[in-house]
Amino acid sequence: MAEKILEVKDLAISFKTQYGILHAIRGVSFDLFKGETLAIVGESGSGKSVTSRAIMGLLAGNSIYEGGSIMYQGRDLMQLNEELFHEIRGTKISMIFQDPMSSLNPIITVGKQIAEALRFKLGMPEEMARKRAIELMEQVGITNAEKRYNQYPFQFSGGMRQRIVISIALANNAEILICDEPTTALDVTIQGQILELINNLKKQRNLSVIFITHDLGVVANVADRIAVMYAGQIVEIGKADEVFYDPKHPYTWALLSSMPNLATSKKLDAISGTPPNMIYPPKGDSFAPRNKYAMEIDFEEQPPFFKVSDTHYAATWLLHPDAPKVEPPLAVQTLKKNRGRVKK
Amino acid sequence: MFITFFITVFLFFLFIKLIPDNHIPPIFQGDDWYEINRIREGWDKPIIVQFGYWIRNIFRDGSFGFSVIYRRDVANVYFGKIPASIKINIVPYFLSIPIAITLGVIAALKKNKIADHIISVGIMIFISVPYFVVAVLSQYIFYFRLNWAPTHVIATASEFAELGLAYGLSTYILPVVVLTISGIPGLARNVRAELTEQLTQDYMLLARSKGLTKRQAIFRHALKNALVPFLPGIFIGIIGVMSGGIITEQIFRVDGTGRLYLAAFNGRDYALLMLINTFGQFLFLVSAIVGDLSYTLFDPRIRVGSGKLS
Amino acid sequence: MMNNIDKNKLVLIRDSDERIIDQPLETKEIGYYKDSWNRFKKNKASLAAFVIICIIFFFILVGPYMKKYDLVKEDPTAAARLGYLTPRIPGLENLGIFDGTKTISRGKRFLHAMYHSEFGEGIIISGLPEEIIEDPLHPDYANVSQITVKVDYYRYINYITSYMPERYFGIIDENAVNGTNNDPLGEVRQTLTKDVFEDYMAKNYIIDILAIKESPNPSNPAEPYYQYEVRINQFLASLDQAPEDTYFWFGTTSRGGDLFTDIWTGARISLLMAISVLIINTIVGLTLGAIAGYYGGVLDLLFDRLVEIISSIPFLSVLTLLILRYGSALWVIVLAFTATGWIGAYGTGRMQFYRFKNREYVLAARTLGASDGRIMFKHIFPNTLGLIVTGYALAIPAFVFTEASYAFLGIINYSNAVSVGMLIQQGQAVMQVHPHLLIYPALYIAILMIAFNLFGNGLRDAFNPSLRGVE
Repeated sequence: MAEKILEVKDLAISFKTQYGILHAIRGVSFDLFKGETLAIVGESGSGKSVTSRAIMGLLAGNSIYEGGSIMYQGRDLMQLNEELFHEIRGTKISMIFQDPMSSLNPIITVGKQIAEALRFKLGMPEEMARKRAIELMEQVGITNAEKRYNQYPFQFSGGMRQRIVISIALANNAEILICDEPTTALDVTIQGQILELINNLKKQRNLSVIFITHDLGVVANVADRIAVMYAGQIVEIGKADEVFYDPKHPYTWALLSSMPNLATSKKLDAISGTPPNMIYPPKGDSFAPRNKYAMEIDFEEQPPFFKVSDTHYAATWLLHPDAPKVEPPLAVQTLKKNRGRVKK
Repeated sequence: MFITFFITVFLFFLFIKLIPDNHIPPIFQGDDWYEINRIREGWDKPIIVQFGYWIRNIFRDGSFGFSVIYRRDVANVYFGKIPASIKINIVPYFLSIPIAITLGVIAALKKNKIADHIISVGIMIFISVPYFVVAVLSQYIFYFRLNWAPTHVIATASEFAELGLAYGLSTYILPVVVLTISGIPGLARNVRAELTEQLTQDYMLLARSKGLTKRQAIFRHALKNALVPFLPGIFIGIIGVMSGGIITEQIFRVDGTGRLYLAAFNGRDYALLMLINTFGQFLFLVSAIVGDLSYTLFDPRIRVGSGKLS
Repeated sequence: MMNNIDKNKLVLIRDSDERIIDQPLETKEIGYYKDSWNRFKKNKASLAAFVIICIIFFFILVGPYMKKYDLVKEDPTAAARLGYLTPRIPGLENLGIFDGTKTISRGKRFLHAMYHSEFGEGIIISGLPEEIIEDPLHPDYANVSQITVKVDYYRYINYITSYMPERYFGIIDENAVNGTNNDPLGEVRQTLTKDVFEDYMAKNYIIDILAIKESPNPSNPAEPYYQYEVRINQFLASLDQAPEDTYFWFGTTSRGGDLFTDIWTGARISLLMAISVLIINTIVGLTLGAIAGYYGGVLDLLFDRLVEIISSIPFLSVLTLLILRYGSALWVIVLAFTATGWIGAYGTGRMQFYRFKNREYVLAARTLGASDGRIMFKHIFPNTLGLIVTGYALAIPAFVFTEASYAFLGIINYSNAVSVGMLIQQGQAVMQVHPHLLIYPALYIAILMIAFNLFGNGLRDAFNPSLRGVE
């Protein structure tokens, strides 16, 4: 039985802006199990990045903690002060970001930036850190590492830079790796390489990975479990198979329907409307205004999580025993049908 | 760059030669003064030729022309005053830089808190109010009103001898302080802006997430990146220490190159003016070169240039 | 929780085929200018600065007319007697500031004489010890030659220019020592003809008659010429008002001019010059910039070289050379500023024209069918206008700064106009004895500069929110 390594419970975080208080996360709960990849999927503004920042303790200065907890190794990370937190960052929990060009300091050599993680966290002497950094560079697939140690970020291509960022993140053998849209800024061909790298490293080091993205195609490749977020809440969570082939939330349906599918020539089914303004979070189910399958109750009460299986939950009134039976849209059904024929 | 230098110097020369009272002999000079100079500098020849003569005189005799107010070669006059200018400019310059950087850093780190507001207000005031107003007012307040400074001008060489080193140095305190203060706001403001900008950059996020403390991330990354754009300027500024500020020298009675300019202007000493302007242009040229060189030194992107991308 | 809901609400409200339409935006669209004005208003410091600038402008317009005082022009010698008066403002004088007093040190006998004379009564406000009042040569103060007292300076000046000069006792001593026979009252002794004398008598200008000299009249021995040596109340004679009723708000300059008026006159001149320079710079710069940007190519390169050469020449050189050649008239200064100043506007103009040619949103607007004029006006112009207005707001203080600095140094030296820089220089020369001549012009410049800079910064932030945070 896999053990829980991270437990997020009812996390709520808001931000003070000049227009009012933005309720970014409104009660998010999920667990991360050791050795798995949990994908968090959602549109921009759904709160997925904020969640990852909260876990790292890197929320912006105008953030307001509204409640909830993040339990890690028996401690609540939300209650941790900065001193203790900075011991966890890098050594236990690590993060990589979307744009590798701006993630790296342009005027310091990449080697030094990797070695910095080693020297400052482990107190490694300079020469040893250098050797180790070169090893790390080779591990992530950078050839000629010894020479390239002294080069600057602008001398690397996008994919290479992301590899360097990954090596920095794993320099101190963290056990949890959070990837915040790491492939969004890369070419599609490179994307695959990076995803493969992450997968390999995960297996080698027995990492637990939280993978944040808005791209379902990417998710299909890496995720063990998937959490779908909308308007600061998780609306559906379950094993990858379950969410892909037996989704229950209309938003998940909409997401799956809107994936461009080279196989068919059907019209793209975009989700109409825009995400709600989180300064004025909607009453009831936040997806209701854009939900084809909305019910009256959706505009009044927020749906709780309904259990679909031990590992699969969805927060939609459609799962209420008295709710009308609704068929998921065609695209979703097609996906299910083609299940056996889709190679993972 | 060199072409620009050459052309501007020639333009100076041309313009000066066009001024009507250019060749009036000063009083107390013999009648042959005109003749001597006419041959030496070619006054009856076309201006271009005169320019050639002037250049030739520089390289052949080391002579830049004859000063009508000081009765000797202008080079002699001018370069003799440089030490005085350096003496008064050098300490403020090297003091103002670390102070400005510190203030800028504090203001950026404590953005929108009290410290930042105070520093910003100070910067605003001292950047707006003209330097001479600050200098004169401080003379008034600190000498005449509060009697903190021994006198309102700096000590001359003879006073140094008579009244001792300590006294002499104490007269330097007020001008040095005023000069330092005038140099701070510009740099401080820029440092503050640049650091603020750098603090929001993505690499800071990565630095923190790899486990550096806030302080480590700020000093090892943001600060380093923020200061790089200013280093060339600082190098260039060192060169400027030689040509003193006219205002300072006038107000505090420093016998340096700035005051010389005023004297040349008032006395219509064209040869001297020509030298000062040319030398100024020369310094400008040197600064430009130094600036360019230092860029390559400090910014690896320029230094390594077109490295191979892979 | 599940049981508390109204089961009736579990009904779909939309048909499966129904299209969901995007809701219209609920906020109103704000125009660019209104938006900028809103942003500007929020910046309290800039708003305050704006108010201050308006106040200053008001004084620049109205100030020189606030006090009708032409004495310096009409009668410079008389005006000179009124020089160096301290500031005095009606109303505020009762609070102890701006009350026209001054602390001076003068000889014992002089002060004693002044204290006891009818004309000098009450001039000394405080500081004269009892002993001296009794006896100027009192033994207690034998080794003190000068006493520091506080006087009503206006009446004091009137006293020494009308009644008894400061050197009175000094001259008497000299006469005793050297055997000379100089007139101790020489400075105040005025000689008048009979007509003038009677005229002055009627107007009450005469204090007293020192002597009447008679000289024979060749044409009419019965009516000799009379010359009257008198002491005249200078304030009454020059200004037609007593010192008690005279108010110079900021005091007077060395030549007796009203400092208040002078400051605003100087301010007005520098402002007019600033505006002329700006206008010329803009016209020349924008035109050249437009040409360079539009035609591009070789012309552009040539201009680039030209700009490079011009910008490497320091302003000081241009200024001094022009002044040496043409003198220090107003137009020369304007020329000096514009000779190098047009480069800024040139850069802006050129940049804007390049953008006009290639910008994406211009392309987009064109695609949507907008005409050239509309494009320029609605799209490019707001951007440019913001830049221009901010540029102006910051260019004016830059000009004032430079002009004042060089006027202070004496490089700029108008013969018939006054610059605040010159005022400060004059003030500096006498700052120990007459600080007001330094302080008020200096304060004026300081406040003006700070206000303009704050205002300019506020404008720039308002028009360009992306620059917020950068001072």
